[in-house]
Order: sequence, then C-alpha cells, then structure tokens
Amino acid sequence: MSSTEDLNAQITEANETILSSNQYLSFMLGCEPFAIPVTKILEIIEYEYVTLVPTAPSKYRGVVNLRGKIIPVIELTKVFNMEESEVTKRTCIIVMEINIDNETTMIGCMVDKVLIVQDIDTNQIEDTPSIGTVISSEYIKGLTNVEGKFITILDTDAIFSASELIIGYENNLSTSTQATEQATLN
Amino acid sequence: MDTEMDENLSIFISEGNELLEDMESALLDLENNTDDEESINRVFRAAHTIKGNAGLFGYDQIIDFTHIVESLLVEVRNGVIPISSELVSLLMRSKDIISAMMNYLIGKEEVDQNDLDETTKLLECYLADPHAAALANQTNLDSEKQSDSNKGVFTLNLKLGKETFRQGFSIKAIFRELNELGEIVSSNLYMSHIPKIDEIDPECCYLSWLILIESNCRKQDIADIFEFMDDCEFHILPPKSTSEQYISIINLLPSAETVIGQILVDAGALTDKELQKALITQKETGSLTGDILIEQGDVQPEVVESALVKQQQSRANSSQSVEFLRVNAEKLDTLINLVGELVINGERVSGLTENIENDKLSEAVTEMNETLEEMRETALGLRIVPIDGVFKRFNRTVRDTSNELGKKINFEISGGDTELDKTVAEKITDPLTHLIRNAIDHGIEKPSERELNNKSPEGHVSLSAYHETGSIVIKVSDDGKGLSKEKIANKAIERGLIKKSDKLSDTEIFNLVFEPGFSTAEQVSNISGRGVGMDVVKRNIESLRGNINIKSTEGKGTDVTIQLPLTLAIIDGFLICTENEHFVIPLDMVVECLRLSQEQTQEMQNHNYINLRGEVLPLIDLKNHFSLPKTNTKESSTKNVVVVQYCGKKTGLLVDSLQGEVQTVIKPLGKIFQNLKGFSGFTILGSGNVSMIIDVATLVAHASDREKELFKHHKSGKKSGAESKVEELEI
Repeated sequence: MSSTEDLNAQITEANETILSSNQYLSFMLGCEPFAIPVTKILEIIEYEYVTLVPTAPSKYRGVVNLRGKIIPVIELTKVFNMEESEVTKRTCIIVMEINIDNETTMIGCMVDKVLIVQDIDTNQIEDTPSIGTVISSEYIKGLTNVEGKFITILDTDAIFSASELIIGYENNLSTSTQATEQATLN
Repeated sequence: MDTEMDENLSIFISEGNELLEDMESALLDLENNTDDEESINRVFRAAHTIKGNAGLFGYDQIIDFTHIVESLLVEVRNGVIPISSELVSLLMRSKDIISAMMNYLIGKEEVDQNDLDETTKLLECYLADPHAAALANQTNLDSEKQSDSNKGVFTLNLKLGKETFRQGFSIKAIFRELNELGEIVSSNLYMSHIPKIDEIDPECCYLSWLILIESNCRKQDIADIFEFMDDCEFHILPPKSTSEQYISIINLLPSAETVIGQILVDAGALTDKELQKALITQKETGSLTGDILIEQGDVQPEVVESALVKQQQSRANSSQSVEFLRVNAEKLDTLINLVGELVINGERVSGLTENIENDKLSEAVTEMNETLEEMRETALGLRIVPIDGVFKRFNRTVRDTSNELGKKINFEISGGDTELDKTVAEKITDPLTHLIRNAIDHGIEKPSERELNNKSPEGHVSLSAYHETGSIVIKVSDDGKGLSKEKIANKAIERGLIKKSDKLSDTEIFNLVFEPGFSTAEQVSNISGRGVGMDVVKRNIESLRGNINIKSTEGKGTDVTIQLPLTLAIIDGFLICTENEHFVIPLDMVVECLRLSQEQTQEMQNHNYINLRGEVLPLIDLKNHFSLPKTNTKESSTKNVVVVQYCGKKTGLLVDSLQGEVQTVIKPLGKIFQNLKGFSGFTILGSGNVSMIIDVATLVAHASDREKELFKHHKSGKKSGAESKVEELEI
C-alpha cells in the first residue's frame, strides 16, 4: 500500500512515458479489487468535503473544488449496485479526464482505497465471463490474475459514456430529435 | 504574414460591418425623412470609408461595386437624383451585396452574381438619368462632379519636359486631348525656357504654355493626359466655381483624415502628383504644406483654408476616438475570469484573517477587498453594452417583413440605452427576430381586416427594454389579433399534449406554444416557416438563464416578455445554510429576510405559507425540497425565511441560517449537470468548498410542479412540506 503522493508521482511518470498503455491503477471497492488504465487518470486526491448536488441521481456524491475547477464525484459502488461503504481515512477520489459528446471534462471516482500502479500485459487480460462477475459485465473489459487473485479491469468508456453520466441525456436527445424533425417538416 | 493578413481582414470586416449597420440605420431614417441631409451624409460616409478600407487591402470587387454606389450617392447629395423609396430599397440591396462580399472574404457567404449584376445595372441606370447624363462618363473620383450649368474655366500652366519628343509624345496629341475635354479658350506659348542657339538640342522640347480651357471635367481628367509624361511640369487651377464646391466637399468628408494634403486629394482639389511635389518642396523648405500648395498655384487659398478647418476638426475627433480600443474578446474573457478568481481568493483571505486580531492586517485586507470590488465592477463593465445596437437591426426586419406581407407597421423602440452583457446581447438577436416576425406575420392583421375591427390600418409593434431586480426585461408587443386560447387548447389536445378534461390557466395555455412543433398558424408562410419554432426561442432564452412569458388578449394583441440576467460571470450572492449545506441565492432576487418565531412555525402545521404583512407568502422548505440528509444537530426552534421575488411573485425559502452577502463567481453547471433544475451554477466559497447557486425561477417552477403531482396522487391534500413536518414531530 503506497501513499497517494507516491501513486500520483507514479501516475505522472507513467503518463509521461510511452509505456503507460500497459499500466493500471488498482483500487478497492468494498473487498473487491478493480483496475483502470493510468492513461485516463489525472491524479488521486484524498476524500475531503464533498458538496451535495441536490436533485441529482444518487450515484453522484456531489462536487469538489480542485484548484478552482468544479469536479463531479461519482460513487462507483452505486454505479455497480454494490454495497455502499463507509467513508474512511483511506477513501480517495480518482480524478480522470474523460470525453463525453466530444467535450473533454473531468470526473472524480470515489473508491475505498487505492492500491498500486502496475504493468498488466494485454495478453494477461482474460475475457469477461458472461456470468459470475461481481458487477454487471457491461462495465468490464476483462479479468487479470495477479498473484493468484483476480482483478476486474473496468471498461471506462462504458462507465463514463454520455448516456450514463449526463443528467436528462435521454430527454435531451428526444427533444433535439423532435426539433430536427420539426425543422425538416418545415 | 498570413496571420497579419488575417488580422487586417478581420479588422476590415468588423469595421465594415459597423459601417454597414450605420448605413442601414441611416437609410431607414432617410426613408422616413427624405430631406434629412445628415442621413445622406452618413450613408455616403459609410460607403466612402468602406471603399477606402477595401482599397487599402486591395479587395477589387468591393472597391468597384462600392464605387458605383458612392457615385450615385454623390448625385443624391448634390440633389441631382431625388430620394425615393425605390432608391432607398436599391441602396439597401446594395448594402446587402457589400455585406455579402465582405462575408465572402471570410468564406461565410457567396455573392449572388445575378443579384450583383442586376443591382449594378440599376445603380448605373440611376446614374445615367438624363439630368445627370453629362456626368455619366466621369466615374473615378466622384466627389467633384459638376453639372453642365457648372462649366468653368481651368487654368493650365504647362511646361513640357525636355524628353517629351524622345518619349514619343506629340504636342498635337496633347492639344487634341485637351480639346476633347472642353473648349480651349486661349493658349499662350512661352518660350522663355528656350536656351541659346548653340546650346539647343533639336530633339529636345523647351516649350511651355498657359492654357485656359472651359470644361465641366474634373481636375484629375486634365492631369491624366500628362500621366505618362514623367518630366513634364504642370499646374491646374480649377475654375472659381469649383472652389466653392471643394469647400463643401471638404466639409462633408468623413473626419478621419488629419493630413491636410490628403484632405485636399480626397476632395479632388489636388492631384496625387501635385501633393507629392508639394511634399518634396516641404521637406526642402520646411514651410507649411498649405502655403506651398497655394504658391504652386495648385489650389485656391480659400480651399486650403477650409481644409485647415477640417483638419482641426478631425484632430479633435481623433483625440476623442482614442477612448475606444478594439480588444480580442477572448483576452477580455480571460481577464474577467482571472478577476473572478481573484475575488474568490480575496473572500478567502478575509475569511482567514477574520479571527486574527491585528489592526494593520485587517485594514490592509479591507482595503484590498475594496479595490477588488472596484476591479470586479470595472471588469464586468467591459462586457456591458447598450442594447441599442441589437434593437436597431430590427428596423430592417420590420420593414422587409411588412413589405413582404403587405402590412403597414408602426414600429417603436424604447429603452435602447438599457445595458446588458455583450454575449447576451448577441445571443438574443435570433430569438427576438423570430418574435418580431411572428408579431407581424401572425399577430398584426391585414389592413382591411383591421379596419373592420375598428383598428387603425397601421399595426403597432413595439420593442422595449428596461431593468428590473437584477435582470433586463425585453418586451415585444403588438396590437394584433392576439392568441386564441381555444385554438391553442384544441391544437394541444390534437397533439396529445393535454387532455380534454385538463383545466389550464391562461398562462399555462399560452405556455403550450413553446412545446416543440406547436404552431397554430393555418398556413406556414415564408416568414414564420423558417425552421425555428417557439420551442427553440424558449430554449435559447433558457440557455442564457432567462425566462420567457406570453400574455395575450384575443382581438387586442400579444405581449411577449423576456427576462434575462444582466451578466453571466459574477453576481452578488446571499449565502444561506441548511442542514450544513451551503447555497447561494442571487442577491438581486432577495427582497428581505425574516425570522420565524416558534408560534409561526407551529401555525404552519397544515399549510406551507405564512402571513407576510397581510399577504400570503408561500414557502419552500429547502431541506425537504432538496431531500437533504438530516444532520445530528438538534432541530433549531427558530427558522429563517429568505423572501425572493421573481416575475413579480414572492416566495419564501425556509432555511436554517443566514450567512450574509458573498461575491459569487458563477461556474457553469457543466455538461453533466446542465439539465439540473433549480440551479444556475456552482461557486467556490471563501472556505474553498463548492456551493451551488440557486436559480429562483426554475426552483419555484420545479416546486410548484412537484406539488401539483402530489395533489394529483393524494386527493386528500396535505402538502409535502406539512407532511414531513408531522413526521419530524413524531420523531
């Protein structure tokens, strides 16, 4: 278990080299280990005060201020329908840069604790079994075996898609299609 | 180089657009008042300056076309061509073509060649009018055209160069050309320059003349004859009659030129060559350009005099215009954002120093905050513009639309000096255009129909703006046939938007027209069927954090009211706290704050309103509305109410504690939260924590929608707030 500072240094270093595509950050949700590619990660911050966003879906824990930028914080346990865990000293927010609807935006993921940055070769990643996984297989890229333990590698594109994240995305879509229909009618 | 070119182009385009706008408004004025000389001059100046600018960058197509327009305008100004509405329309069309040509340069628009050819032809037809026939062939520098009756005698002082014959020029040809221009009244040959016989080179020319020509041509026409005769010296003194004309032209020139020689050249009193020569002499002698010109015999003294006056005016004007500076909008936005960040940090510093007892420190902090406040005001002011610029454009819209539909419209603008954020001003143009077109197309009836209804045949459409509690209100009103509630309701039932059994208030019925694809117009006309519906108008307004409302009386007319925030970046906020969560309410919306006594709280068992000095004040309990998690702190016996006002309606927001005023830099909700109702953005508090900014309008709307739903489900009818209060008591 490394400190967040060490991990942040590793992430920065990894993202500066070309090899980063094979590097993954592992973390815990409850007692399950998960991993995401470091290329998507900007930094890890300690969990502090998170401002509630009323009327937003419950998977949104709220927002935090990261050096003047407002970052939405999402609770992965709620996205995956897992048991909610208590906030502890080890609770962290992984800040990632994602692209939704052709716009780059930042989002924070609340995790119970971060573990390490490690190399995982593509050929070490096994296909997702269709049954028996801890979370819905639509969010999983694959599984990897590290020292006899299976780590679930997450499909960040699926988790952070526009339809998953943007509030009222479906409504938006339907009104805009209606508008275009109207425009073509005219 | 390329970027420099781009920069020049963008300057040319933005200046050009301003000039064209001014030209259009002057043309509209002209249409109403055909004798208005100042308007003619404005149109002329715009065309003249555009031509000049285009000349600087070598946009030939624009130069050629604007030149014809300018020529026509000179005739108009001289009273040769009378102003008619056809002429104004033609000039409007020309203005559109110039605009298209400019847009073409930045790849935005194509120039319609047919339109261009046709308009050019029409312009030339006007120019070729019999009254002006004699002038038709003088197409270059128009400013000094004279009519036949204005014939004058030019004095030409000509000294041919030694090389004249070797260069292949013949004296005969010169005289023939002079003869073509007018009648040679007299010509005296001077032989004083002929050298002694043994020094004579028989192939050289030593002759000079003083020639008087009676002609209606321009000075430049005479000068052109000698254009290629490099070593020939000549001075042309225009006839007396034209010197008066030059003076009047000088007075009418756009006052941007501060060099006297250039003023004279612009007015046509001086040719470029004469000027260059005078400038060389000036370098040698150091005397004043004006004096040299008179000495050379190029210009009459009184013309120079008036040019001097003009020069002084221009200098005065140019020292005034220093007050304006063109700044890249992006840089400005960055500055405003930085000021915003600074304001946040300032708040933070004062928060941190609050508990430190150090007089000097707190004094410094107070001073810093005062400066910051001033800075914020100034920074925001940079983006604020009067709405006039937007409003004026609609004169044209009204004119075109009403002509197209054969309706007479009296269009009235008021409150043009009301100021708002430039971004808002730009984005409001499209929705307003749509509303005004709608008013003329669907609102105002045909003249015959109006007379039948005892209305004046001329329809009245007005556009007004004014400030109201921290927002700007823009109103589009017409005295047309109004909206038919019945028609709207029927249409809505047909479309399945409402049920027949639904009982809707007037406002709710009118709001139906904002539903996508809703139109009660039986015919889709050219005007209203352009692909944007009222739903798009509403969405545009909402994207500016604004609000739109319709009021209408059938047979009397329709009022559409748009309410917009003054600025998009920084506001004064009022910080409140409930269940340990902080929220900011825009201070402009806050009317007053109240403290609820225990009795008042208990009185509210069954309803969610209080008696505010005899008025009913509905309350929204933020804790319930936002379903905030309960904190462990004991329920305080007293509650605070923040009374907010929106669209004339007061609502109380029930909160735990009031924290006072804060400077609030609005951070947008962002892609993810953009559709959230009840909030307009985030802000960072002095503590560094994030707080949400409450959008009173959507909050109230959301709360009332929710209650309606609740009432539908529980017909027995206890209000949401009251219900949860009972629960609390049970706990």
